[in-house]
Amino acid sequence: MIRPPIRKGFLAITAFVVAAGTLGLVLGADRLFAYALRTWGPYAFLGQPVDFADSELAVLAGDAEVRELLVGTPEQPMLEVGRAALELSLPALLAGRLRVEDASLERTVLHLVVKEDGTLAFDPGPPPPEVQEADPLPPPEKPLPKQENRDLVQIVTEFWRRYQHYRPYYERLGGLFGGGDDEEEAGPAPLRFPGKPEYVAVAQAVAEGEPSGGFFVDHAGVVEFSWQTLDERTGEPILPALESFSMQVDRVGWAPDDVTAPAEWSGRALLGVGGELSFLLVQPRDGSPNTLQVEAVSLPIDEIADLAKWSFPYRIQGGEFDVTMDELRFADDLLEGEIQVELRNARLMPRRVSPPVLGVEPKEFCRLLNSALQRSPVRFVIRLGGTPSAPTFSVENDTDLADLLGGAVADEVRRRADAFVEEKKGELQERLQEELQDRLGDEAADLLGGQAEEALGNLLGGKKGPKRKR
Amino acid sequence: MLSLVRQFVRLLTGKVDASEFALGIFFGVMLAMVPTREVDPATGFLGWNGAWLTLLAACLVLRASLPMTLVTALLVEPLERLALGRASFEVGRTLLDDVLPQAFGAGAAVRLPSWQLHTYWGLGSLVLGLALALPLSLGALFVLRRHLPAWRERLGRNRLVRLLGSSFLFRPIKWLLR
Repeated sequence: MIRPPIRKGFLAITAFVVAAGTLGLVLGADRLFAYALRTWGPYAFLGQPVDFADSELAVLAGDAEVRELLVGTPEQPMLEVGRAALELSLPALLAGRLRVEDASLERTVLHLVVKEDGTLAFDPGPPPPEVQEADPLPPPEKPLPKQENRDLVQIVTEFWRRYQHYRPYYERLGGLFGGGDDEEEAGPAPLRFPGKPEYVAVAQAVAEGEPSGGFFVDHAGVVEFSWQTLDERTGEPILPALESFSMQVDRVGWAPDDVTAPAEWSGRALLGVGGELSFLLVQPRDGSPNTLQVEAVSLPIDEIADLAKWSFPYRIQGGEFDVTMDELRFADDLLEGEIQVELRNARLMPRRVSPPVLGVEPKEFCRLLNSALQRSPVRFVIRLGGTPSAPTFSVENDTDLADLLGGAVADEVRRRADAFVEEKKGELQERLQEELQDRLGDEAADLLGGQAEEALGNLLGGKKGPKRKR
Repeated sequence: MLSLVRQFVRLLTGKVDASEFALGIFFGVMLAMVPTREVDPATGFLGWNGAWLTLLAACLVLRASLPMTLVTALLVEPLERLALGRASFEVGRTLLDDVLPQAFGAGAAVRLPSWQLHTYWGLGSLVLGLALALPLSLGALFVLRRHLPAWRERLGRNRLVRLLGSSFLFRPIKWLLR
């Protein structure tokens, strides 16, 4: 008898193992997911413990959800998320691509605390002396004040510089971007006969550059985001409280063939103390430059200046400022656009480290600027050019500071006068017409009719109004 | 080693037919010739050569004699180390550089990178392995079909062979290998 050339026993065992594994994964997915989050979560958050009220993982649907996530301890939380959800495309996953159909973070609170010693609460501190002695951290480009006297910008910049320098150490500790306490694996033994044709390497490089696979996000959003900050040195918040913040990300990453619309990043924030911030970044897929629009309106200077009070070479107090970027265009070899900064009711004061501006001594510069600010808002227009890696900046009327400030004032006066004329034009036109009618009488008005109206309208630069009937 | 001898003897005295022996020889040669690890870094399957893993899976699923596969692989491996490995590399280089169109190597690298057909050693070992394994296994099939029954009869009468083959430990393995 001829037996089929298949090893049925082996196939049966393989099928059983696969089926049992799949069943176990489906039935125990939630527990496995929860265990993985608690075990590996700290590696993503600088070693902070991760806890949550509930989690769900639907393997076959590609959905995952975590509720009431807490990173850190209840006494000293770092991040709280009401609900985090992720929806993956399973067909894409089976094809070796990661496609996030929807992701969302809801009711997120970020806790940022600067301790009394001037370090961030989640900072694990410098590495032990032996690590530092083996590879000392180079001194900063500019000397910094004592740790406990630094502003937030200096604290964060210095932390990041130290983290980058000793990254292998921090990753072993449980760093920001994975790692763990595993020893580095020894590299594989060298191959006896490595090698491939040059044209294969070229084909691989081209294939890697093709936007056909990899990571793609259809939509992701952050809603109801807020932060709670505290500087323990002063007992004051570090950042102005957020009244609301939301952010959306659409079509970002290596787009599948059927996606041609541009990638978009957008967000809007309202500050509790007043002021509003919004942005929109558009990344087209047809090779045209990216565009960025930013509008920050009525930001209170006192609430924000403290963040960089020692980093900024001048002291600035009071008032508000606006920052507007209408349409900044940029690509690998292009950067163009302008940034408009408008200061209102602010007061600038020199510090010992203040540098001269456009050849004007700090004291004189502050006097001129404050004098201009007393009369009206001062607007600077900074033109950008060059490329993102080698940008160029030019300030309008930058040959002379008085011109610059005078020009800023004149621009504002002109803008306001234009707005006033525009607003009052219709009213003036009507009043003039009534005056004419009163003086010349109804006959004259009827006689001249539309000609008078047209003449007056043209005189004022407006459109012809409707005929008045009496 | 004793276990291997036991299994081998049981196979010789059991119901394994000539085709299973031939398949064992075929896969033994191929598995010894083809490199196990990826030849081009980061293109294999979890660091392994996809072609080798596929051959192993085929060997396990098809009714190839596993002892014969193992014995053949152990015999061919030293030869591969001594000379056949270098010969595989040269064959692959000739094929990819001079014989096959560039579209083959480029296509293999992009569409089926884990099989390592875009590398000199990966492709050469498969081709040279096939060139050795096919005639060897076909020759073995021809010879065994003619002489296996007689050999079995002669071994079956041997007392030592009967003793080795009757151990209950190997009954489940026999079922699996059937």
